[in-house]
Amino acid sequence: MRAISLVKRIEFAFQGNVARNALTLGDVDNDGFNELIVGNHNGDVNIFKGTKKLQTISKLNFVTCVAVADIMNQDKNVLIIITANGWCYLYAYPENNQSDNSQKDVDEGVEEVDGQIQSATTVDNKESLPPPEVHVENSKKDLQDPQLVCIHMQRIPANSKNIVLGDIDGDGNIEMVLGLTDRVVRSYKWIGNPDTSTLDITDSSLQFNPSDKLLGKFVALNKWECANQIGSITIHHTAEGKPSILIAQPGGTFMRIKCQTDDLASEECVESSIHSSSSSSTGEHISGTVDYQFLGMSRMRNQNISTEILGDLHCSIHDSGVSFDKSSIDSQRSANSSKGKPYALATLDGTIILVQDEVILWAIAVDHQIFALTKLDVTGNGSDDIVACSWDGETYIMDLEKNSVRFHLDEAVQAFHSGYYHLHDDEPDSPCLVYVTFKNTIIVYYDLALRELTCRKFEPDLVKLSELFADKERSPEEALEHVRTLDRKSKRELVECLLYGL
Amino acid sequence: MQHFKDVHFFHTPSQGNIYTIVELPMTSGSTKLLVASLKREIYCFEFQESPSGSLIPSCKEVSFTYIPNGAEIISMDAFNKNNNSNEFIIGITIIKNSNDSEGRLENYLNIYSGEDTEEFNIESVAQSCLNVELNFIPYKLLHTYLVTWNDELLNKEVVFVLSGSDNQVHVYKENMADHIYKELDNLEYFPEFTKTPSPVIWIDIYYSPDYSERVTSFACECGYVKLLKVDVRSNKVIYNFSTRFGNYISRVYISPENDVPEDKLFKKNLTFTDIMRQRRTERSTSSKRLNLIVINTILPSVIFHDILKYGLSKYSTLPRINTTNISTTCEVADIDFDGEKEILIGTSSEEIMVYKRDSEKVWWLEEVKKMTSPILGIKCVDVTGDGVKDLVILSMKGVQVLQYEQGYLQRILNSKIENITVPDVSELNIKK
Repeated sequence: MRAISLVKRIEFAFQGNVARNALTLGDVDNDGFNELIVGNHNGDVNIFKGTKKLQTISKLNFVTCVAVADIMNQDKNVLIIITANGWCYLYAYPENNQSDNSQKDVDEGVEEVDGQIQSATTVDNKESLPPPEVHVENSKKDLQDPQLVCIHMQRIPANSKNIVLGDIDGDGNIEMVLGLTDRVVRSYKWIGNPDTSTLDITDSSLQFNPSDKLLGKFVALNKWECANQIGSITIHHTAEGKPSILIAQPGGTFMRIKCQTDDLASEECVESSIHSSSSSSTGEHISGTVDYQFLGMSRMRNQNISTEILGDLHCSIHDSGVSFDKSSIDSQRSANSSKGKPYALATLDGTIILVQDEVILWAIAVDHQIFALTKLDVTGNGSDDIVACSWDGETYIMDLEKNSVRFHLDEAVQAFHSGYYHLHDDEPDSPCLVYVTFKNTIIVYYDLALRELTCRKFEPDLVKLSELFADKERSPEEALEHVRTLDRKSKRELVECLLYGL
Repeated sequence: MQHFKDVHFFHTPSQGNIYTIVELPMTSGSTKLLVASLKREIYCFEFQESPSGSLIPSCKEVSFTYIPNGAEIISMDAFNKNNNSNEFIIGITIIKNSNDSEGRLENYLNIYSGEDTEEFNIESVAQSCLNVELNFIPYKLLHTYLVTWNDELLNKEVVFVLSGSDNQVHVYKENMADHIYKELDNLEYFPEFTKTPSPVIWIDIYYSPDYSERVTSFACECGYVKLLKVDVRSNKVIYNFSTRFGNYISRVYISPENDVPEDKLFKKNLTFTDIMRQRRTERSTSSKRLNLIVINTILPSVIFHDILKYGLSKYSTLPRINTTNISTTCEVADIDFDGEKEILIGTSSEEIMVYKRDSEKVWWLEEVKKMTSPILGIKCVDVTGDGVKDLVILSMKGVQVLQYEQGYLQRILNSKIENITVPDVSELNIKK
């Protein structure tokens, strides 16, 4: 397999153990560029932007999941932090159009963070938290960088380990799906408070407490129980655009949940949950179908091996680099429109499988333990590439045609992510690989200079080459024919002579 | 260098040194690479072509016989004995702690040669070994021609040249009858190799096209550089220059100002042959100008211009940007197809520095390319066999192969073809 070495990298220091989903790349400050957000087992969450650290949110509990999404459905990304002991925090930047002086904003922001420290440590008090002490001290902080402020916190069942955000029921709003270590998958929906949806949380007169649910709250929609431990969760869309949740199960199998919104029922559920104080599961209103998929070849394998799954791999046929003749492109395209998008599975014993409509397109076996499966358009050709990482730092980049490239990080990896990260001011986000090592560092490889995953010999353009041979005795057609029939050796010598001899 | 893309990278389990990468140019036009690491592993790297036309990198470990456990590989060299087939001779020098109480070092030069077979098989070459015991620690191993003139008859034989810790340079020649390698007397054949003040790190030998003269340069650990011209027929030293730099020298490189393209293509009767032949004669005149590049590890590297005419008196220095790193290696090649050679210097600070000569013949640092680990060797050879030279970089972690982007090559090729086919405007005017 072709291997590459990557040169451009930056390193951040970050202490502590990082859970596999406590690492994400997302645009948390809504400036159009991605930041890197990492959380550790001590409850510190760092936000990195460019080459510097923007902010540390500390004294939470064991951070298991971080995600950035427009979960409040207000066209504004917020940071979602889930801790192992069952707290869900939402962080956002305060709106800039305040009339108050910004000094206050920052102070308040810091206080909010402090306020929920206490709440996080006093978990036993259920939701009756002591109000955060607002002692406005005039700390001379740099006012240029606004800080993330906790805008919401809510008790959820403990031990979440996976988070997926997306529209799972086709209603146009983003839902949150959590996978728990006790084989349970739960889905939540954000219900904004209609009275205070645009609450100015930095208004100090409000005595805002993030646990007050002033802005709204998460309402549990569904609870599903899997037969086995959850590997990872992904959202996949069928050919008709219907969303489904795929939950990886041991042994290269997965569970598929199709959520169909029964509009009336969900409205009702929302209504009822707004008024009820409990956030218990009201998912019975939403009809969903659940099926288990055993991909053909998975039966041969170890049934207990943990599995990762990744849905919605985007592929564009005509940019695949291989030159089909026109008819085959058309046939492929028409065939493709009736087919769903492919999705990928990877198992810890080193099998990477690409599946389309429950049919295995290809599978490869590698001798490294793959624990993370992500997608990234590395080559920039419009198709997603699969990026899989193993515990010992071996990283595989594969396109949907099974061409592959590997990269070896000389260190063990505890968390991996791939995506786009913003580094240079005047350039768009660059594709990057993010590794969290066991040596308290985060390594970001950026500007992956991979234009194609295969490499080939230089083939000169024959038409241009034939110009050399066209003269009085030879017509251009004959010259072209002559060039075409040149054997390899003389063609090579010709190229060498032209390039180096002239 | 931005037109290069990363094709393949392979790790070596232990690091090599500046002597441990060797190319094996196949008669098919492609090149295999032989890379040794300190702890006895030797890898043979090549590209294979899949049916769909994509290149599959293949890196095989070759187990050379007679390299005992605990031995360490110092240097390696290889040459093709036969012009028409792949009959390679590979020399490997090793040192080994002997088991006796004095803890002496055992040093060997192992010479491997294979049968002349249709398909080159490195495994079979690695199995037949001739052993030369050395009573010094080996340094640089290279091969050169031993040219003897019998009246007007030229006789060329390839010999191994090895420098050692005894401050001498040794020459080994195969004795065909006995099938052993024997050391030659330097005075008789290589009068330039006299005793030096410290071990010789690198030797470069250049024969004039008609093999009547030989230019030899070598550099020692203490910074002593010697440049000699030898008349091959009489075996007399024509001139002898020496200088001393105050630091360790990692490389000397004798480079003709221009490479003369081989004559292969000119036999065919093509419309552009005349143009090419004309370029060729232009070049062969300038190719008589030899430059000597001396890579200083700590000081700025130096290029001595036209050493046949000026000796070591006309020189310029290559500016450094970093004074804390060590320059380890260099390659002189035309990497941007403008007909002028560039100098590439590899450093310990994971960089390749590209020097280019401007129109006023001044050398400038053109570009610095970052690599992943300290660099031990750079080679500009055609690994893929497509007529275009690829860049091979040996670093402490492994070997990286870089290839030109296809689009860039095609653009260069188009402009070269247009240079020939599109008639010159000034010529058209004359016809009027």
